[in-house]
Amino acid sequence: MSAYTKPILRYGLATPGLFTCVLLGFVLILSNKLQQIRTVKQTRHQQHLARLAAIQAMEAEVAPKRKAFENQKRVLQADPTQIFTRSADSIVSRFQRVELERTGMVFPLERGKIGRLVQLDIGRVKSSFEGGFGPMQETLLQVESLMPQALLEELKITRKADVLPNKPGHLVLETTHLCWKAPEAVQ
Amino acid sequence: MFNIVDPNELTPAAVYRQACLVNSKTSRGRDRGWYQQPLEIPYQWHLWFDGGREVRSATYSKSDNTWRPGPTLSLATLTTGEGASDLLQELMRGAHFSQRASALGVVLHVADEFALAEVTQGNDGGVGGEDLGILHYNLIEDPCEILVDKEVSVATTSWRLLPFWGAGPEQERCTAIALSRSREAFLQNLIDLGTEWRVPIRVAVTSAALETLAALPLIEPTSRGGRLVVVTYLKFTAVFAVSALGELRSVRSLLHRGSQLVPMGFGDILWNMAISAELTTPGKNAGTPPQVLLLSDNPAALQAAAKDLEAYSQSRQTIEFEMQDLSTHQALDAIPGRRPEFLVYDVASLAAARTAGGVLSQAQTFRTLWTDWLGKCNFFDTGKVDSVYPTLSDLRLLRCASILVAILTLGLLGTAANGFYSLFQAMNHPSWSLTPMEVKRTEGLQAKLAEEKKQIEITSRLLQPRSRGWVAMEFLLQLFPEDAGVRVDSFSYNFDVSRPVGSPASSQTGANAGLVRSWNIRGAANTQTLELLNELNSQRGLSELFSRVAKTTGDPGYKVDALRQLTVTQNQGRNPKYNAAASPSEVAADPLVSLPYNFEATITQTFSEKDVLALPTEKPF
Repeated sequence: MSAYTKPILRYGLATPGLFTCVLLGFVLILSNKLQQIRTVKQTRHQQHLARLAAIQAMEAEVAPKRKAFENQKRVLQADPTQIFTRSADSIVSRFQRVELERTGMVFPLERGKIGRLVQLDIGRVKSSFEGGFGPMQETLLQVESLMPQALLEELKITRKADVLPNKPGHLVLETTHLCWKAPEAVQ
Repeated sequence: MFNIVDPNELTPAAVYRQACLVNSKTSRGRDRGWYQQPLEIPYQWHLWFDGGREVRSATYSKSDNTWRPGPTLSLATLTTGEGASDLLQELMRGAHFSQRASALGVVLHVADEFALAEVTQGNDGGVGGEDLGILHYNLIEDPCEILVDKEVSVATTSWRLLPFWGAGPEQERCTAIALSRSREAFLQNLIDLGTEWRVPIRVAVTSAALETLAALPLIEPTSRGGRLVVVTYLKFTAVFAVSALGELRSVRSLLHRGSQLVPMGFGDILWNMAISAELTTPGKNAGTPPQVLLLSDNPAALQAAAKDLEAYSQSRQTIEFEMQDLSTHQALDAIPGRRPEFLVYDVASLAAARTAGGVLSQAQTFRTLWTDWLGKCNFFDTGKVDSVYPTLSDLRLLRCASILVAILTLGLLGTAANGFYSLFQAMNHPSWSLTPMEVKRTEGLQAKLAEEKKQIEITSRLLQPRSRGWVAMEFLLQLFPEDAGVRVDSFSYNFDVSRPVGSPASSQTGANAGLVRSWNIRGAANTQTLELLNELNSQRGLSELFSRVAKTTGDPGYKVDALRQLTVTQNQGRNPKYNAAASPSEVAADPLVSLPYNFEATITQTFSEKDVLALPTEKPF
């Protein structure tokens, strides 16, 4: 080993090698960090693009239904008990008393079995009629056509004996309807 | 040109800088010629001078074993070193060689001095070849330790060991030859020029007298031993005592006084030397006087020596002598300047001498001189010159280190460039300009749309016609056609959830609730109607009934589906009021008397949680 060997190893190999390795390591760390940032940004961008596509698809799906939905919202925003009462009375009034007569109408506060299961606000209408089968069916047809939010919970039909001896078909009809309604905040 | 400094006087950083400088400014890192001995180089320039006005110059190409006259050199140039550049240019052009020289070995044969110095070590007997090597090394490194005379100057004089291979047990085994360093300036000039021109110039200074002794078997292959070999030069005469076996026993250097061609007391000196070297023994071999071989290229010197010895033989002791005039010797015809000192480096002559069967050729003295000792006796300390330069291994290490560092740097630059390119690519990608605000806005929009979609879906499903009164009544009409012969006393319809309230919803179906509805009919019927009711006891009969209702009313809730379950329970019995002989008026008063059977039927339809009509329990808003 000559007098030159150690200085060459020290200044020609070890020092620049170490310095370059440190720099290389630093650059690799930076490059790796940049790659991570790039991956995160590109993933976020891809998610963004996918989200935009999903928004577009959703908009295409929702847009045609929006008008109908607004109508449905309006239906739900209306007070179902009033509509039921008005429409039932309006239709029943077309019949003679002997054909069909509303004998009672109450609005139970109890939510009932279905109402307890569903989180949406509801209104219940319990009504009683006396009359024939046909007028009652027609009345229900018209009321329920006007009120898609109404759902029949219970219907009971019994004969009313000896009221009108010459009219054995006179019936007592009791209905319970459950009506969906929007929360007051939506209204 | 840079000035090389002894690395021991520099800091490590300066040593490294000097190594880099040597690597870049010289060809030492690439040309092996810098690390060869002068006599190993294929192209050699031999210079000889004896202190006279003439400097003899010859070139030798080892490859074709050809001697050519060298460039003319004045004594002034040899002394001062001026004009060395022109001479070297002339040599390197190839005019004096068969082709252009890539390296040059310069050998200066010194024939103007031949001083001997006594050594303190090595003369105590038992010194082998290995010890001689160590002694030779020590003499070069620290001559004061080896020489008897401690007052010597290494700055002006160089010493090299000359072993007496034929010395007897009581005789001196070696001596030191000394040459002054006065001509090293010229040689150093050549080295510097070679360094500058990137051409390896390796130099050697040799003792001409020793070379002439070594050349003796080449000049006279049949030459015998057991005599004194006298070599006469302009300023001195060298006398070598060679034993009968051809081994060197002793040597003397005799200076010439004034302009005399032979030393004073020449005969006495030779007589005494022959006795001390045991080449003759007075009284024993009176008939065999000392034998002397006179060698010179100066006929006048030979004549003067012969005259002196003849006079001595007549007046004192008989000395037999033989003369060899080198100026006319045919062995030197091919050598420019006719110098026997050059001949000893002639490869062909040396090979011929080795194979010749002469006494001298077989002697250890001459074989050792030819093999390596002449090479060792380079009075120019090339080792010291070389020690200030990095070795070939150092320069290779430096280059390897540079390459390694360059590779690392390239790797670093490549990685950095790749990083910058990646950054450039990333910055030009739309993802780079996507702000969190924009992402948040889009997320909000998506969430809003998803919420709206969910509201629409739940609302639409909520408002589906699941249970309507008029359809439930139509169900009764479809069950019993007009004039079917039935009297219904009571009819009830119930619509409810199919699982208990408060039980958790299925995780698969999400927030959907299954439903169940039932029709309960109680009354009296005739036989035909009873058969109709009995048909309901089969799934086919039930399915037909529900399909008929669905078709009539358009209510999807009555459609038969695998997810919907239909069941029926019936209770039938005899009507106690039945009177088979009842008159029409009795039948009009109470129709029950005309109907023979009582019945109670309960029909149930169950919707599973997966049914399209299953009830969503979530809030739409």
